[in-house]
Amino acid sequence: MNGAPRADEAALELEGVSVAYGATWALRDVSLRLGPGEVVGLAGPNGSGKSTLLAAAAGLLGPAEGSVRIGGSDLRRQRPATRARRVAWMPQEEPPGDNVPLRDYVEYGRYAWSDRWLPPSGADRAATDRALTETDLLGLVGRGIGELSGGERQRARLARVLAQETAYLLLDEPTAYLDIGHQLDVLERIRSFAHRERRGVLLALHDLNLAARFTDRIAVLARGRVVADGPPTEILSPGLLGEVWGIAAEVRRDPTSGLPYLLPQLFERTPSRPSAAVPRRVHVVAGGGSGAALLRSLLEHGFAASAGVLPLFDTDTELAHDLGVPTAVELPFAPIAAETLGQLDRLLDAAEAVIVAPFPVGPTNLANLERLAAWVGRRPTFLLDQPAGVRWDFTDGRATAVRDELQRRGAASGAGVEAAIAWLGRLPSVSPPA
Amino acid sequence: MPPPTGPAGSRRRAGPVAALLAVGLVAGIFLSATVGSEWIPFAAVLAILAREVGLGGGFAPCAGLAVAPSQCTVWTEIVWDARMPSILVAVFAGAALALSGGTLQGVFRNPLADPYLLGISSGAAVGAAILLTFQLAVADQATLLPVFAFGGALVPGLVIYAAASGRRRGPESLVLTGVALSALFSAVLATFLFYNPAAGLQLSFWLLGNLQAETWTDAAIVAGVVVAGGTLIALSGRELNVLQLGPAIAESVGVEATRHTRRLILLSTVVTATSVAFTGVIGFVGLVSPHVVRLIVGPDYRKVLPISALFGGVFLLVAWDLALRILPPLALPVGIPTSFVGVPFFLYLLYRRRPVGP
Amino acid sequence: MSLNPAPPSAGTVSRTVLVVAILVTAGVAVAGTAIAYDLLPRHAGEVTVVDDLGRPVDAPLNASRIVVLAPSIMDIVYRLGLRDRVVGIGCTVGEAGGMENEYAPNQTSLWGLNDSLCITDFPTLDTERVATLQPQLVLASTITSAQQVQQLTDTYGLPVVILAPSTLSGIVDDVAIVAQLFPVAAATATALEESLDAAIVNATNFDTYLSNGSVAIPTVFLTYGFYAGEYYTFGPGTFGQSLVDLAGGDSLSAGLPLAYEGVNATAILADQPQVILFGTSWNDPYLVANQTPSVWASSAPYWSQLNGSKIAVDVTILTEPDPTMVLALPWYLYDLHPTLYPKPSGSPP
Repeated sequence: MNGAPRADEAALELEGVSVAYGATWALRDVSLRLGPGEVVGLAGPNGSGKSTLLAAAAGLLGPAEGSVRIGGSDLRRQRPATRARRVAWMPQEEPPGDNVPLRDYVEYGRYAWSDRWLPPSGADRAATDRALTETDLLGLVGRGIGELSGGERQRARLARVLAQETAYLLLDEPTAYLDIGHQLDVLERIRSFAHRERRGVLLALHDLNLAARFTDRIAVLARGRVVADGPPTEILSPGLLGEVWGIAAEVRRDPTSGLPYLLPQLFERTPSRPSAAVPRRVHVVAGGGSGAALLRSLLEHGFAASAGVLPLFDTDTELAHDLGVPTAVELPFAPIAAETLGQLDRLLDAAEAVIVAPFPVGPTNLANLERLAAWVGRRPTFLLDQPAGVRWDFTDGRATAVRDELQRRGAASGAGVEAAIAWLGRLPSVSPPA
Repeated sequence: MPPPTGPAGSRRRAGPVAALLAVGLVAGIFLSATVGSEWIPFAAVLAILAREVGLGGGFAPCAGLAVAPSQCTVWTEIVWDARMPSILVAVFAGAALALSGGTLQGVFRNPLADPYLLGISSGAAVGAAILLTFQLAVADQATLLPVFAFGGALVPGLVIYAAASGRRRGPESLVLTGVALSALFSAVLATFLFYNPAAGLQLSFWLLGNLQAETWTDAAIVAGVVVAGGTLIALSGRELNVLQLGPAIAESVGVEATRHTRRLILLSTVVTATSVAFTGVIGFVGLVSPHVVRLIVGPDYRKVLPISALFGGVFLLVAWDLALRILPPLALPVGIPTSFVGVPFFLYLLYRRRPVGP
Repeated sequence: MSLNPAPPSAGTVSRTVLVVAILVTAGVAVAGTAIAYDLLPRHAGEVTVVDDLGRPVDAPLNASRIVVLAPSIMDIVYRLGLRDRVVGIGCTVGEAGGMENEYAPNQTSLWGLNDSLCITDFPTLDTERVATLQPQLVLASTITSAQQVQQLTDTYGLPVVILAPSTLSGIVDDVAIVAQLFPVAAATATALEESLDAAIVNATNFDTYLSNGSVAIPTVFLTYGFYAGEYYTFGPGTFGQSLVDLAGGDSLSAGLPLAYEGVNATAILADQPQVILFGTSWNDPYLVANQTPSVWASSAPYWSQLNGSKIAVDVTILTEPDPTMVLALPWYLYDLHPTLYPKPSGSPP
């Protein structure tokens, strides 16, 4: 294998590179270092200059300012054949071309290594084979590239780049047009190859979660400048996401890997029309995911909400936390403690109406319903109908009895979140802000 | 968008196909020596060829045929000095056109490119028209016609070469430049014809392709330029393959796209201009030959280019024989059989191709 | 140990140069041989004539086998008594067969021609046939392309003399050239030249009548055919035009832009030319085929309303620049000015 130490263990360095297209600057004073064995992700919004940076790093564009060097020698001063032995480049798009046999196609990557006048040598064939093995394409060698599927075609392009056997690889969106399975496959191959063979890889990715997972470092570009450069755990933050991409997103940590992943906010938290009045608060009793739609709908309609008592790690609890909804929380499968019931009371007191979502009731959360019995007279209460044919009462009938009691004591009921919202609108004392 | 051109397995056919075409070419050359308006016995033809090629000095070509020696001398002149140069020009011009066509299809990544794409044929026609319309140097017209045609052909070629050398322009703008130059030259040509309609008759034969009355000098020049230029072109097969991926990827792999593109355009121009200067404008050979060859041997230009040259030589030779045989003793302009064979075949190619799969 | 081979060095540059040098040398060697082969002297001639294109041609004297590629040249050859030496004539391939497209019936019978003499010469000359006939001299016109003349000369070693007069006196010069090639016909040639010169001079002398003011110049319309409401006429630069001029007529077609053009019949009707010379031909495919006088009378536009004197002329004479054309001059003079000139003897051409 080609794991032997290479003569040029030097890094690929962009120093103060600025590239202009006509009168516009595509890159401004960009400095980036790619070391051997490093996988660096390049992220940024459309038009931030990722493709330009990769092309400049490959020596294909002449920078107006700054330089691109490997081990101190300027790439632009070298002939294309010399450059091709040091840096390989895979652009986003490629003309479809003729139905070239796969092996020949991958062998194009060997151009700079072989003698122009002679057919490709044994060393070239061996390199092509290694590249095909690395991308798991050896079995398809008899086919032409026009006969490959999208994923296979992308792997073939990668194989061509690998066959060039350069110290540095510059890949522009290598996962474009691939389904999630192929995306993970290709990125894993790239990463293991880079680490195993000590190659530097700079790859542009749109998917930040994939970047976080597969790169050692991420460099973030915005409007032609590098605004961040470091390991994914340090780089990805809601602040950066908002500043560079203009989105509101939560950054979570994947418990199994410790790597960050981001959850974009799906909707506006505050109503579009500003209002002087304080939003009315509605308390939601839910669990097991039954309250998700209701909570979202309430917030979209301009209400404030509270929730409880919900078990920890329940999806409704996670959602409530995300939405910033005050929640009374208890340990899962534990009976509700008195202190937690006290929290529930406080929440009910602060709310002006109560909506009960169709959650499955067991012995541990029965106390939610029982507690409501004390409040049904003081706060308008709406019970959402349980879905038909689905068992929801796991308390030998006690929950059903409590529910019936609530209805007898004046709780309204109806099917569907819209019915609940409509009911809220009809309440005399509770109405959304104008 | 180029069509998918044959399964990958067709690469194994290249050798046998090349051998078959080469043998066919040599046999065709010999057989074509028997085609002409005068009937000469087959045995005599072969004997004349053998003697002239130097294989048998002792051959008496007309022995046993009861013809006068002077008649035999005339037959030798007909077969060797009149027919053979035309045959050789047909072979090398066909090779030149096929080679140029394939090269330009590769350089411009356009399956409809042909050797005249850059306006060479119109330029050559104007060069010839200048000589014929204004009746310059009438006594030496035969010698000067190829010179004027060649000069005229180079003008658009050099304009395009200069354009290709400038700032990086895509192939589309080069092609459009060629189209514009073609239109300009056609208009100039029409003006000349209006001015002197009598020259139009002579010119019209030239515009349809004329392989008659070629001399050994003509054949030598065409053969020399085509062999030299064609070899240089065919040696760039690898680069042409890589250029199909676009100039950016080509450069990233180590191929200097601009340099090779310019060089291939220049070589194609010179080779085509030389061919056109001596044969007039012959259509379809350059367009159709590379496609046929690609269908059989696959898209690898290292194979497509040399085999296209062989195929083009055979194609034009067959067309020339047809031109002599369709309305004897008239020799049709050779562009007529190439079009009649080439057009339906080309349409067949176009409409038979399977749509590109997912 | 590096698994990649050493990258190609600058040795490839010199290798390219070497390959190119070898190819160029080989090419020059081959080309040089071929060109030298072409330049081998083919034959020696006995006389050098300069033909109408200015080419000096080495030719034998009194050649016994000649090929004649145009009817106008055949006229000269016949009048000089050389008809027996003709082994091949130029014919056009057409529906009616070889010879009938190019030679009028009266020519065919007068000159004793038959199809076996035919050599296809239009659109291209069948040079192989010419060579097989083994002639000693080829007399051609400018219909034959320059390349084919070169093939006859260089490939087959045949002397080719091109006769292509552009004026009436050029026709006389052509007779002189043929006389140079055939001293055996010198006397006949001299007589012919004299009668041709006389005819031309006679016509040229018409100028004296003009300067006297003693004669009216009739308006003349010369037409060789009609089609779709237009009459076709000979414009400036044509032999027909110069014949009319020389014969003292004011040709209506003198000011036309092109040599062979269609004129609207209503314009002719308005102009009412005093003399109308209309062409008859046997079947020439290159003219609009309105052959006989009766066809003209029945089909030509406004024919009955045209009041000028209508005289039939053989169009063949107008299109073939030969002695017959010159000798027709007295008839033109008579047709245009019947009061001034005697009616020539013999039948009208």
